[in-house]
Amino acid sequence: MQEALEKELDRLSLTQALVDAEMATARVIDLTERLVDAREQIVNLRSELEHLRIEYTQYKVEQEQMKSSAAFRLASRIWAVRNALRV
Amino acid sequence: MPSVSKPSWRILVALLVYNGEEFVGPCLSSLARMDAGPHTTDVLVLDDASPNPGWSERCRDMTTDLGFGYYRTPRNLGIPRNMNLGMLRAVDAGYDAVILLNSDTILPANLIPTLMRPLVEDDSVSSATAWSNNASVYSIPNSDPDHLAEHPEIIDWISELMDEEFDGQAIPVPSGVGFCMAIPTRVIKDVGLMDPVFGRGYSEEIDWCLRSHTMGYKSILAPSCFVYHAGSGITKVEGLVGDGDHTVAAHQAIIDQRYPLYISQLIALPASSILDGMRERGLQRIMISAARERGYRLEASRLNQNADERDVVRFRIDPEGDTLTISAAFEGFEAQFAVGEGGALPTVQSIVGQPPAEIRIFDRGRASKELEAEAARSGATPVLNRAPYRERVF
Repeated sequence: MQEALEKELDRLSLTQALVDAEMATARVIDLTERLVDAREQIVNLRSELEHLRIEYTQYKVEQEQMKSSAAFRLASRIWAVRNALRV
Repeated sequence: MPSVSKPSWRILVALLVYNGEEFVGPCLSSLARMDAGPHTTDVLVLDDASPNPGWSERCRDMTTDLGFGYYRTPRNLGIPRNMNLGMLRAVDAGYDAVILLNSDTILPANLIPTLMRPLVEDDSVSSATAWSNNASVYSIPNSDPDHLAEHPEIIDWISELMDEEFDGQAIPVPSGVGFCMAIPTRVIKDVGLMDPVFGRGYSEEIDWCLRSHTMGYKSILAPSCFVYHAGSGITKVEGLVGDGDHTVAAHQAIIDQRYPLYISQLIALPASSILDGMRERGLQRIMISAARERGYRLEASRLNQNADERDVVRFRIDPEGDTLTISAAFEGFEAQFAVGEGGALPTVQSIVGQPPAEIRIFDRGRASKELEAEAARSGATPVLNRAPYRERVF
């Protein structure tokens, strides 16, 4: 009886192991696909981020140029005088 | 009236073993003492390729000597897949239900009728979990579980009491707990097996129960059935979870992803009065029944002196009467009772239905004085005054 039980459980165990292996393979493929998609998304987002960084740097340079111009300096002085006179 | 569940079911008890030699012997002995009531049971020990030298052979001998089935997997499967083997066997061999059982448990003699009753009576139940000293948030606490494990007769007695008290009641819970969980095989056919993604184990039964809930089933706790559970006894030794941990973080993350509402359900249940009320009823029943059967002692003490006298039912009051509760302790269980208008002695006498065998006074105070006077008036109970000076330093 014990022998028959062991035989029966061997059969069940083996059948289920095959199902589990198939399922595990399918899950690995699914996870790999999702990983590739996620990786692609990360690359796209990084590239977008780099573009935005470059754009930001350009704007920053432009702003510095404006700040160092004679017109800007004059306007700043006028603004300071205006504040001091409380106009 | 103890649980009687009809009709008769064929039940497979699948005991999951991985090392844990110190636990398996008492568990098997308790399985051998079981009274299945109207049902028939077979026990199958599923040894998950225990690596300890010689243990599998000894386990096999112990198991077959008791007339139980034994199977050692060719290689280690982990808890979820070992559970699946038990579930598959139950379905394949035409059983009506399977009980998945950890080996660090000791079962009461009335396990089968009390755990099966909710499943037999309600088709919508996917799993029934036994009540225990250590069953996640559903526990009935015991301060000395090692002592409890050494006295299976106390486990039998408590489970009988709980069956009388709760009479087959089923408490819906957010999830079952895998240490002792009964599942009908027709539900397995519908819901499927444990997910092997949970590797060596932990949280697989939560996933299974929540999957069953999405299909319209419910998980219940059976307070009529009390099972001793050492708790993480083997998984900690084998390094599956760390000391102080109750779960595996990666597995919990899968549960959170799959069932985002589960955690709020888990928080909501203890916040309701359901579990506390059930615990209070159970613990008070233990104290009252023990006091009636064995007699009891009433103490006036701030310190829990004589705490090692576990087999004595001790009711304890605050000597000053500042706390309006009476604490009771027996075999590591503790319960609280509200002091009635007449004072501590009449309250305890009315709860138990008989006077205490002895009164011990460990400290002076208003309530101690009243207690001594009340005892002198009734003259029924000897008083031992052991209060030479203040019990506490400050």
